[in-house]
Amino acid sequence: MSDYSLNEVASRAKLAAKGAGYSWGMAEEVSRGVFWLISRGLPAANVLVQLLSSFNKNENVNSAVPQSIGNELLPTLQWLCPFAAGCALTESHDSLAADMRLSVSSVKYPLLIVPFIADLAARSSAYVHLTLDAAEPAHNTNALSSGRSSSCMSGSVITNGCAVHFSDPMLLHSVFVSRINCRLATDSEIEALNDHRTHQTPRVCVSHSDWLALDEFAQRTYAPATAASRVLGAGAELNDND
Amino acid sequence: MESVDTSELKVSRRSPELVMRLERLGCFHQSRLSFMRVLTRRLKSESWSFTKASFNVNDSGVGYAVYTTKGPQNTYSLVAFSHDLPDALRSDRVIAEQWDATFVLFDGIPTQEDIARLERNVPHQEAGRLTGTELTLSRANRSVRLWNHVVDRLANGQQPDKAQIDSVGYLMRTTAVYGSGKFGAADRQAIAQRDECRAPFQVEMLTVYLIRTFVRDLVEHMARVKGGTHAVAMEPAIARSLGIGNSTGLGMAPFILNHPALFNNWILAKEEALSTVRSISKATDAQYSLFLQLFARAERSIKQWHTQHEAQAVKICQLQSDLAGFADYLSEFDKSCPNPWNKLYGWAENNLCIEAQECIVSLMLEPYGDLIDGFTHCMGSDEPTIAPIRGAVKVASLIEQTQTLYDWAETINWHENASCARAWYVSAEKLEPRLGERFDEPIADYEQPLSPARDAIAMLAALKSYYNQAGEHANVAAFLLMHPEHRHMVRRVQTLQDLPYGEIRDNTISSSLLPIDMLRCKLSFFGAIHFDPKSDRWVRIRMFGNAPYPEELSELDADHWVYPE
Repeated sequence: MSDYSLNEVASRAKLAAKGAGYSWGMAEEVSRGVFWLISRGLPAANVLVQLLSSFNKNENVNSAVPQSIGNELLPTLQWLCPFAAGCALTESHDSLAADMRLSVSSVKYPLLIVPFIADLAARSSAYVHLTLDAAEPAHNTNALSSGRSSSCMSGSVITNGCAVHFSDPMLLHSVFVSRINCRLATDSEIEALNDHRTHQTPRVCVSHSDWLALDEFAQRTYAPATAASRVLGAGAELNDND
Repeated sequence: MESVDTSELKVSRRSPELVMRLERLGCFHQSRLSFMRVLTRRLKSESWSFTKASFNVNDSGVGYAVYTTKGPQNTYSLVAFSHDLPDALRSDRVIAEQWDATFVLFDGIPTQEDIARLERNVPHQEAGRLTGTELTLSRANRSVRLWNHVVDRLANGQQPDKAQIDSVGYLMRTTAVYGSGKFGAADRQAIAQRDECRAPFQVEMLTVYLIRTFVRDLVEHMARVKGGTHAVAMEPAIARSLGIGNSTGLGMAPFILNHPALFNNWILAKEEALSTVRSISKATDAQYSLFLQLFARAERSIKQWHTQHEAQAVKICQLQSDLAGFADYLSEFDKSCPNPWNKLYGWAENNLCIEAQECIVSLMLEPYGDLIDGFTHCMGSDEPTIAPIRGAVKVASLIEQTQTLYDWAETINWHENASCARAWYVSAEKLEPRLGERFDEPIADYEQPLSPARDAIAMLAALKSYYNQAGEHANVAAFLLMHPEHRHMVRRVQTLQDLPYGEIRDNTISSSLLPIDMLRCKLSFFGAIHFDPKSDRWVRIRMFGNAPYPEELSELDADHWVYPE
């Protein structure tokens, strides 16, 4: 594990996301989400690497999106990207009303949706409760088989936009949840958050292999150098003796 | 302090339509709001102490030095590594791998273990690693010609030739000063709440200020090595006239596009300062006299502004001529007239080139530190660079907002190649930012989102089409589900709603773009002078020239040093 600054990891996450096929605007969401998580000591870099590595020709950033905007999001194909789902689920709402229920089905790497719920909680000046349900959806096929096992588990998350609490640390590494339900938290649930204060951290540890994986995705955004671009592109000489 | 009556006229800020054109931004001059001057005023007013804690440099000029400075709350140390660089490897580009000197600004006082760790990393710059105790990373190359001249002269017991000193202005030029979390250094957020870090780029400015002291000490050390007992120190006035150069490429240009809130705050502070001064009903004798004095000193400084760059040379020539014309106007000017600064500004705007107008704007601010220096507290930004999208906003509303912000971009013919001739990209080669020819090079697939004008117009077309299909109830979240390619631009338009000066109102991918205009604008806020473009995308400047050295701060003027006496 190596020690990194928060901005360094968030910047790398943005480029990695762009390299993996997201638009620049979605790559910014990835960066924003990763920053929120790592500044709370949560393993977003590792989980992001897993997400980006799980895309392939058929299941890519463009297909892992919701069918439509609404309070109940369903995937267009097999599963939902947590960033696409997070944006679609929360951006339509200026705040979360007491009687409002939001849900999203078939989400991979649910840790990465939490920053968007946190945004909604902050906008609502309220505590928001998430239930993560690991039960396998009826329509699921072999597409998710690699993610099954202990990585698919149930639990809950509560956040007020700043602090966050996961009912089970294993949830951080959850690969897939069949459904996430979102509503305002009850008083007793709020107590659970207050019992587990989130400590913000100024630094982040990332494993060498995760950093290399992010770098590999990021490299796809860099133009290969040519002799002409080396001279013309930067508009300067290569030697500065004067 | 003399009283100032500002009660009658309230002059509005200049409009973004006037100010935010590259032609004008590329003529900005340093002012009393510039970050270097914010720093030196603070160092003096708070009586910061300075110590040369170590100077372990050998006879070949190789080794390290530590300069420590202590303020009311915090202590910072420049750790400088001096190298013996073969001439063939001296490049100011990001792609360079060795330099004459390399530096970090350390948060506190480094231990020997820290220095040993830094010695293994800092000379390698981007290829090394820093930790949370380092605030900046930088490097510098010598101006070989002037360096050798100064060493030789001092070694022989003589002072350097003033003409040669003036023609270059610095012994070393930095080629990058990285901060805010780069290469493992501390994030900006980690220090943002410190008093001395609230104004932008203060640790970067402190780094350069301390580098200047190290460079003076190093050149005198090398002279002593060469001349032994014959060697002399530089006369203080000559040493003081030397600044630190800086060689800046395209990396700075994306910054002002990528940080619209910060950029807005810089321009807003300057424009608010100008409107404040233009609104003053009467200038006192002392205020007007200071203005005249600094005007004369600025003219002297401009006479030392040299460049081989044709377009800049023409601008300097016109500037000198226009300032002479302004001096004639001043000789007849009745300073007791109502709102004298507004009258002077109005005359300048109607009669002088933009370069001269902006020079005079900066000079007009000088007598009013008591009114405007506080604006520097608003020049930082705690806003997140990436704000959440407000998706509940109706598409019709976003169309209106976009049209209001980018009406000027709708007049550009985007079907012409010349309108989108360029593309910004990052080279795989040490991640150097570059600007290429879209239709001649295979770079379009790697394009960075740095063309807001083109992207706004493309988004506008998609928004209108979506609105026609989805109707008046359609919101932005639904639009973005269909069009994720416009998410970056939606965020930009929403971010700019409260930022009148956050956007450059010019095409940043046009065949006629001069990136040096963007570089100069940013560098003027640093406080740089003597812009010397080496091409349309590369500029050398001077920083801290004529500023008091640390040991002179208590005795000398820590504010107006930028105008040579």
